[in-house]
Order: sequence, then structure tokens, then C-alpha cells
Amino acid sequence: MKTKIQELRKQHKISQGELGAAVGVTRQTITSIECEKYTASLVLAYKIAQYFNTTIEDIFDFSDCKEEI
Amino acid sequence: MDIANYTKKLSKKRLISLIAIFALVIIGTVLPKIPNAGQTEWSQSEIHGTWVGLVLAFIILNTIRIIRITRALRDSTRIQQLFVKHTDERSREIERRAFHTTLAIVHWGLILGIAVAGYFHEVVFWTLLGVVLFLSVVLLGAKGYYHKKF
Repeated sequence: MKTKIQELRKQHKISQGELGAAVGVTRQTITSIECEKYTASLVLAYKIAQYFNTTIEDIFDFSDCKEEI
Repeated sequence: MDIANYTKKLSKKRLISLIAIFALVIIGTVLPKIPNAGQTEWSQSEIHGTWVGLVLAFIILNTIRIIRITRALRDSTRIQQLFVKHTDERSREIERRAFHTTLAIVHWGLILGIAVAGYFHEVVFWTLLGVVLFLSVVLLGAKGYYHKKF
């Protein structure tokens, strides 16, 4: 799933490790989400959205899911 | 699970590891002295050697675990790192998938083993069949349990 995490991280000037520590996951998990290798759970998506003070839909691209519905 | 509960869990784990070490020391000293019936002197010493090796490996692993937990309990940064590692959802997903794949391979490997053993050794055939039946029953039980839970 495409995300804007990398973009938001750069805007906020934080590293993957710092974001991971803030939302309670490892740096590798953030890397995998950014590389579209791993899809974050609903709870993690919510935590990331809360951290950047935005909504889940703003960060995660659900366009592929919409086509399936 | 929060970090306070995780700290308690770590303390329990440390205690269990300590008890396991004592139990293993006793097993490791007593077991090699019991003679195995119907085996040659050579195979007895081989089996005893394997046992001692396994017990020693478990003792070493448990000691490393105790040291790691004790260090973490003294340092809040380290405990936080361990907590994140323990609760990381990607790591859990990897573990779950690896376990699922391993179980499937072992299951089908054993079924293949049964087919092959049927031509060569009756004892191996029945043993493998017993293992596959046991695994299947446990698997079905676990599936039933999780169907009810979720």
C-alpha cells in the first residue's frame, strides 16, 4: 500500500527510528511500510496518523481497496 | 500490554529460567547414570552424550537469557527497546507466517515419510503415523479454539 509516511517524516525532520519509537514499532517496520512491503495494522495506522496530527486516509492510499469494493 | 506489565513478565521469565537451570542441572546429572535397556554400550554412551549436550545447551541459553533480562531490568532505555521488539507487529507477523510455513512443511514431510517408511520399517511407519495424527488433532483443536475466540 502506498503511503505518505516518508514525505511526512521529511517534513517533520524525523528519522524512521524516531517515528518507530514514538508509535511503538521497530525502525525496520517503518522501512517496510514505506517500501510497501508491509501493510500497517489499523492500530498502527491510527497511531501514525495521530503522531502526524492527520487522518489515516491522508497518509495511506486506499485507492486499490476502493476498486475491489 | 503496557511496559509495567512487560517488566513484570520479564521478572517472571527470569525466575522461570532460573528454575529451569536448576531442573536441568539435576536432569543432566541424574539421567546419564540411568542405564537404558536393550541398547549396546556404544549407543548408550551416544545417547547419554546427546543428552548432556542438549542439557548444557539449554543451561547456556537460559543463562544468557537471565543476563539479558537482568541488564534490561536495570536500564529503562534497554527495557523500552526490548518492549518495542517484543510487541512489534511486523516481527509478530513474520513469526506467525514462519511458524505456519514450517508446520505445513513438517506435516507434509511427515506424510511423505510415512509413505516411504511403510516400505522399509514398520516401527518408524507407526511412529510417524502417531506423530501426524497427534499433530492433526492439536491443529484441529487449536483451530476450533481460535474460531470460538475470534
